[in-house]
Amino acid sequence: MAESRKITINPISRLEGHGKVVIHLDERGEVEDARFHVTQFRGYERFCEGRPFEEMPTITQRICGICPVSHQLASAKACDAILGIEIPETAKLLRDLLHMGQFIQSHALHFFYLASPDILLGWDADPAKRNVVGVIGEFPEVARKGIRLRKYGQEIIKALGGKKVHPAFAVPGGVMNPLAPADRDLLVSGLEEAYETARIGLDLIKDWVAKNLEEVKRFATYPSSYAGLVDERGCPNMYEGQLRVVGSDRKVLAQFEPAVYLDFIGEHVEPWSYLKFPFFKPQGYPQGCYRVGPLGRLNAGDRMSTPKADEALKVYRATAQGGIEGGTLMYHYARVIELLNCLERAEELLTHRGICGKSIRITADPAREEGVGVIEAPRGTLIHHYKVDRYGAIRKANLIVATGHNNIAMNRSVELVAREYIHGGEVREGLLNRVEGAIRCYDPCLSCSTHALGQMPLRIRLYSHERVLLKEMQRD
Amino acid sequence: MDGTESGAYQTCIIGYGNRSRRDDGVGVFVAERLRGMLCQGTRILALHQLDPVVLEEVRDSDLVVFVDATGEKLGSGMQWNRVRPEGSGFAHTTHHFKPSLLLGLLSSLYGREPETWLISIQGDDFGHGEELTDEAQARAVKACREIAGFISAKTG
Repeated sequence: MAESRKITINPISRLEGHGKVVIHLDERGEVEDARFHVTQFRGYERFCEGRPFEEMPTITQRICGICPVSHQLASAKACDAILGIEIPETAKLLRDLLHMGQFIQSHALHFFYLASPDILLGWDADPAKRNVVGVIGEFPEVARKGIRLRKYGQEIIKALGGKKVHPAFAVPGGVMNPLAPADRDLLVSGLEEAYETARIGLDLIKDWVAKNLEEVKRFATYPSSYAGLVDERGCPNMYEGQLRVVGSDRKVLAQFEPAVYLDFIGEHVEPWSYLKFPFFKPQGYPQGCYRVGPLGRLNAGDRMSTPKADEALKVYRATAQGGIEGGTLMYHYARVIELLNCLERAEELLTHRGICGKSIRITADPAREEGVGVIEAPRGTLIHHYKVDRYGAIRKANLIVATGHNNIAMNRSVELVAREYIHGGEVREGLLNRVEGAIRCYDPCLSCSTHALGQMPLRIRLYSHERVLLKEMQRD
Repeated sequence: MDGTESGAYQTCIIGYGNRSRRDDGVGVFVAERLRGMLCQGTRILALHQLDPVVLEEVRDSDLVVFVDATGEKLGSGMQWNRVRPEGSGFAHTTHHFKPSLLLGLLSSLYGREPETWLISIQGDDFGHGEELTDEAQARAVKACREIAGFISAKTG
């Protein structure tokens, strides 16, 4: 009797967190099921209970060392809602600027350090070289510029929050500090080089997609819905707006105020993962799979809010007419367009007449027992939802992070790669690289998704239908 | 020791770790304490983790001292090790750029190989919390004295 098998990949490299992939084979040795497991658990939502809500921006940013700014801002927005206030204009500009710094440094790290080895060196390059060290060896100037662009984003965060990671800045009612004119001028002076680097990244990914259209069309790709915040013009907006969900044909399925997200988004739990599976309620689970992050935002939006990024989007969409608009590898292309968009937005903010204003915070007593704060983190939509008692202590916290929204999609991508590379019980060379690459497109942050302090690595395990471990793949 | 084209000897001290994990933050504690002990010419960085941007910070340095926590039991509670550039052994996670790898990248990207040391300080408790244990704090204070003396001897 032919036996079915199970493959596991663990840890997945160049991700933020810990992940494990388990592949089950049927009696014929074909892929029966593939699952991306998240093996961390921390229970962040539970231990926030009882804390004063004002502490939440400080507490929740500690979920992650990569995107603390996003948590801080989503949390501050939820707290603003509890206070029932609109923050001063300057505070809003400064929060937005901080957010742009976060996007710039995060997208620069992902594209130039985590994704570029796949793009510049190729899937089947020696694993010992298919990493940032290999990129530096082959493309030192690209690597140098990538470092400086990430630094630029970090400098924005530092100028506002005093340090590059875990800044003390956004608070309920506004922000802690104004922006000094000297810091503004310094940041403006760095824009030209930052634009140049983003352009290099854009050219690299544009050429790569053009040369690899067939693979982009095929790789880990399937029809899904997409979601992201959009402004009143239908442009993706990283800081605020309405949440829009579109189908695989980009037609709008729903657009709603983030505060009523529970009417549209459900959370499914599977016993084999600590990461929940959010889904679009009108379609149910798992049919209601949608994708967030750069690909989700660009597909949900009508156009970009800034001119250079909008031009880049037009080229992207012209290329995508080849049927690759939903290609999982297009995440990388979308991410670089967003990088350009965020630089342009940072420039708009830095040159805004109110950016160095002094009115930066309103204080008030809690006016509501509930608040929802939604923001677009670099990896996708981030929801913070708090309920408080009459003293302002947290009764319940619900955090839905980008990696959670993408959970169904990541699992499907892994399954598609597995189905392509495993037949008759034989595992083709390159499976491990491609499973990692598929997951990496989503830039998942597993620390965030289980609200655990950051660490991160992957392992693939192959099991028979009798649940016998047949093969294990892991990099040391 | 590497010379610098400008002639000024440049030193950079980098203490890193997670301050939310008690003794894991001992490197950050050392960096912050040293700010009040060393002359202004010494660059001091307190970081959550090492990432490639550190290369930009140390590219002109002649002497780099990393300070980090370790879970290993060390005889004297701390250990100085000379760091040599490493061109392989890339960590799979972006959270774990080792000093040796950064030094290797510095050499590849900028053609620089400053004298580099890693001071590992034993930690006893890596649970949640921002306070160092008394033992780790005592080791950190001792490390500060040693580093200050070392830098003073190097820079005259």
